[in-house]
Amino acid sequence: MTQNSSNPVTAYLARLDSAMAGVEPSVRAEIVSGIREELAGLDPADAAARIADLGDPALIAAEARAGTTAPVAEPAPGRTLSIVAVLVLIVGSFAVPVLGALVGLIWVSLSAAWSRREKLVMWLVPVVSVVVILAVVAVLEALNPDATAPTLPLGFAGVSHLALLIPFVVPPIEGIVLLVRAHRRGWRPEALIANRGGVGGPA
Amino acid sequence: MTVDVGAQLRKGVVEFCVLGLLEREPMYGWQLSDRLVKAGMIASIGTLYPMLSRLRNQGLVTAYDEASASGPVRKYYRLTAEGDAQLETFRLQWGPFAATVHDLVGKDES
Repeated sequence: MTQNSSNPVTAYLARLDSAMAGVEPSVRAEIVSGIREELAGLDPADAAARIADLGDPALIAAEARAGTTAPVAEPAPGRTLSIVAVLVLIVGSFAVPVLGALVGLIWVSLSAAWSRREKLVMWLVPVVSVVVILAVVAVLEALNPDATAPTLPLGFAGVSHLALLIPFVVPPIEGIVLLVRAHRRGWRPEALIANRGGVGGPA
Repeated sequence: MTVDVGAQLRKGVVEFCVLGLLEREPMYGWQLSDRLVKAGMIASIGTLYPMLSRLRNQGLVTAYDEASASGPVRKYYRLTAEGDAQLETFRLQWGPFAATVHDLVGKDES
């Protein structure tokens, strides 16, 4: 028995160390050295009792693993993609006419950083702006079909051209607004912050 | 839906229990683990070390090596000033918190 005194300890430490494969290295090293410190210098009977107290190395390893996988203030998931999406919306609208804005709008729609309502508003604003401008032009033209002096300062053609500017001007502005809003919330999913009417408040 | 109420409750307070123990005296890992396991706050020493690692990263606890008179050199843990402040903050909140929970869920004994 005396001859084997260090064997159960060494064997236990070896089992413990291998059971803890995959545990964060610093924690793994601390646990093994902490237990080694405790078992060192004990007589065999005490060492055996301590080992019995400690229990199965697999259990200790499982606990250590569970303890080290706890999230520690990690950044909001998908944050980088959301930032890229909104930048595409802002810059893409200038870089690639119409298509750039479209890609930005779709990408932002897929991101969790904005609420459904914000996304809906984002899609509706440019569409509604174009429709309103064209409707105004159509109405004025209908009321004043043979005007030589244009009713509007820029003339009908000029106002119609305003509609063409919408895809260039509106999405970047929307992008900036969405960027500011998401930044204020730390890019966390809007759904987690407020489920109901989160954007309806005094923003 | 079954919820391990005990585990949920321990999760929120066990780190402060470590701070509380270390406020009284510096302790080594085994000593801390022994106290906490016997008190039913942790399942095994495996739970303790990840926690100590977090507390050290947060600057609430610090470690140092010391040779005990009879035994080997051990790694001791003690509270930092920040840890002390954190523990005090917890103490200030715990009393009213426990009283509130008791008011809400406790049965009237009169």
